[in-house]
Amino acid sequence: MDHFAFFGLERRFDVDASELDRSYLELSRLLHPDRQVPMPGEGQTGSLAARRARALALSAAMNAAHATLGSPEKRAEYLLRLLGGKTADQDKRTPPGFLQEQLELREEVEEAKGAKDRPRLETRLRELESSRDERLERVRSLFARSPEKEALAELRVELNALKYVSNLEGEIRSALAAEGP
Amino acid sequence: MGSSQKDDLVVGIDLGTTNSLVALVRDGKPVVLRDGAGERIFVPSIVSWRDDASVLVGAEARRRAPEAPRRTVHSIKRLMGKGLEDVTAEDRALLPYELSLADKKLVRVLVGERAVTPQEVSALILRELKTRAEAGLGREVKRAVITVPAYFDDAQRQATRDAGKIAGLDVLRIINEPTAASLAYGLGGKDGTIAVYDFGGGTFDISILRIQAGTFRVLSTNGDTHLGGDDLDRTLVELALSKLEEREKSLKVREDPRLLALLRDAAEKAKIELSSSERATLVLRDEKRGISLDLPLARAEYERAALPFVERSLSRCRRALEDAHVKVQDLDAVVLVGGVTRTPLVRAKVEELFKRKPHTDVDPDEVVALGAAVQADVLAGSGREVLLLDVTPLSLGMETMGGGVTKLIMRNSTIPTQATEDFSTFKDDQTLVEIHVLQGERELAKDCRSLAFFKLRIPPMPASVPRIHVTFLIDADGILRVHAIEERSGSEASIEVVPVHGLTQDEVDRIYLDSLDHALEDVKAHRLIDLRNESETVLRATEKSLREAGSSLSQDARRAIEAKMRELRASAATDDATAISAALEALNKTAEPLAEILLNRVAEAAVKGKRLEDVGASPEKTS
Repeated sequence: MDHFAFFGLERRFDVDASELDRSYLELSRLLHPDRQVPMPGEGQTGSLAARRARALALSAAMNAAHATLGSPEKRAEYLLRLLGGKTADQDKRTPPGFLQEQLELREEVEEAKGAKDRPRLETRLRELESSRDERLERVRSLFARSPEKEALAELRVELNALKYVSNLEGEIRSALAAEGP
Repeated sequence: MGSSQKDDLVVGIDLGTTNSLVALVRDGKPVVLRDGAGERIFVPSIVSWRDDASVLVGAEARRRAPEAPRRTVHSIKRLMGKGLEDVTAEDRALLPYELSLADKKLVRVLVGERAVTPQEVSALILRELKTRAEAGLGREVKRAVITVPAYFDDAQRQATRDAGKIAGLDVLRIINEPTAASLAYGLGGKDGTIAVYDFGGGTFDISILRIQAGTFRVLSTNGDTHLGGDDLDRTLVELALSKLEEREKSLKVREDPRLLALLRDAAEKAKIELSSSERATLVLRDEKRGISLDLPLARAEYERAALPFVERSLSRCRRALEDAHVKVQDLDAVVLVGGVTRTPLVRAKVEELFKRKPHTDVDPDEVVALGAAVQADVLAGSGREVLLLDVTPLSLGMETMGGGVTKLIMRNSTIPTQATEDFSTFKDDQTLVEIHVLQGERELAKDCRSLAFFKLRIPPMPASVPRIHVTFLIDADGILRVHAIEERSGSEASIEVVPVHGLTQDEVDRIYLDSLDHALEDVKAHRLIDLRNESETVLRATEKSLREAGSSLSQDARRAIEAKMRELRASAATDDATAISAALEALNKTAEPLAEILLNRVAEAAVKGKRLEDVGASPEKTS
């Protein structure tokens, strides 16, 4: 059973976040080790310990699956793998000119971080956010064309680029949070 | 008192840097427990060794601190799960006792000739809580939920669990302090998103949670395990010291451990005064040496010195909000935890950041223990509809070639959780694969916390042929287990990570056994519990016998028995084992005529073929 099926969702890129959450909380109430409590008269015994150990394995797998489906980037990676696409290790290509662009952007961000130039960091963050949204939009339409071979190859390239964008975005966010307004 | 009921007793313990508490759910409500004398169990986390190696814990240890500063250990929580190189200059400045330099991997405190691990010191505090709770409850306490700062790493969590084991406790769950606090706060059933700002004695935590129909879900957590009320106290001590040195040049306070300890105490009092008024007077008195000094202090001076520490906590809050994808205006409440949050400066700064008045209905000193008791109640099987979904505070990964880090589990992942990673060898015929487990956010292995090394032996194969599959599993206590398998050969290694800075299972067991040998107090406590149980049994049996056969006794004999029963009840409420024992004996003696009557009846009944129950005799005899 794949992660989508586990949470009772259709296997596709678009996921209803509230539906995923509702299903996740419902399953957590069943599977979490803390929900395995002594039955009347059982006490803290071996059979309880065995139930808790099983629950640990199940809920660890469930939490990891939920984290995967909860993030668009991870969900895309996972779905691409299910559809037989390549991993980032197997195909490291990025869109033409992308790496050069990233390198320059990164340099600029480092400079702004060093100068504690908050407005500049915030501008770059907004730009990165919109570039991330654009790429996710492309990912969405590419998944709509899957399982076409070219679509899967293009998805790999987009997701590789997306990884760079999210990393840099995360760095700016933590720099901004560390400094405070 | 049925045996299953006895088994189900699980207490909640807040093992704090400054104070420790134990709580239990009673009639559906968490309460801080009282000891045999009816006192609230609120134990200063201080341990002092007498010259004869006997140990004082709590308030008595604190009173002894000025006389024996080098034999009195406070703030041990700062050293839990640490190696010598982890102990910062700040820590050193706060801790007047000496550390053993013999073992770089595991910090030990030097008390006279003895080198004591932080786990053992914490275990002594836990044992004190356990003993006093048992005296108050009149029954044994075997199981507990213990709280730790949310930002504690794997080694610090394991050290806490080991301390519990050494104290003879089965630790059912390690839970995070802010999460516990949210549980006590959120019991009213209000749904919403809250921030828990927990400024403890030695650690700072911030957690953002979403409460939804009994599910307490941590969205993010952040913190600083080197930031606490101790730091604020130290700024005040430093302030007083600089004033003293200016005024009394002859007093070499810094080199005088006794005066320093007295000054620390006086600063603590002044700090509390400064919370409610603009000015305070620090009174330093040493009657033995005829020293009596009054130092005026202003709140503004103290706040200037304390501000950088408070700012540090705010920076952590902003990161937590960022990680939770929650904006300040999305929050429904801010809950304050820890005694430090009584400081007006802290309240003002928290209010400024979160743009709202923080919630102060719950006692910031008790809320963590109360929340731990709620979780204990859940695990005991009370049927309470509560579920905690907590997160791991720090990312976990492995060292890669060239000193980099591959992260397997990201910070703020909901626990329990797992992740796997496949890799191979880079040399031909490599038979040993070493896995270096790391925790932290930095990109280089040397900047992360080294949790453990472990080795997997594999058959010789050409480079890149082996397929090594590593699984990380974080359990609900936030503690990591690692499993590795080489898939072509089936070679396997699985460990519950024994941290670099921790104790092995054997060491924990040995210390536990040693502590049993030496724990005279423990024996005393057990005797007290046994005597109380016996008293209860005897009293019940005597009552029953009086109902059945009392009419056959003389008025005087009956009155005498009733008087002795009252005496036993009174002494059983105290902690005086000798008195209880004497009262028990007295009652047994006085009740002899009653026992005789009953015995005669049993004999008669046996002749007539009646069953014992019919004549009012029961297995619970009075002697």
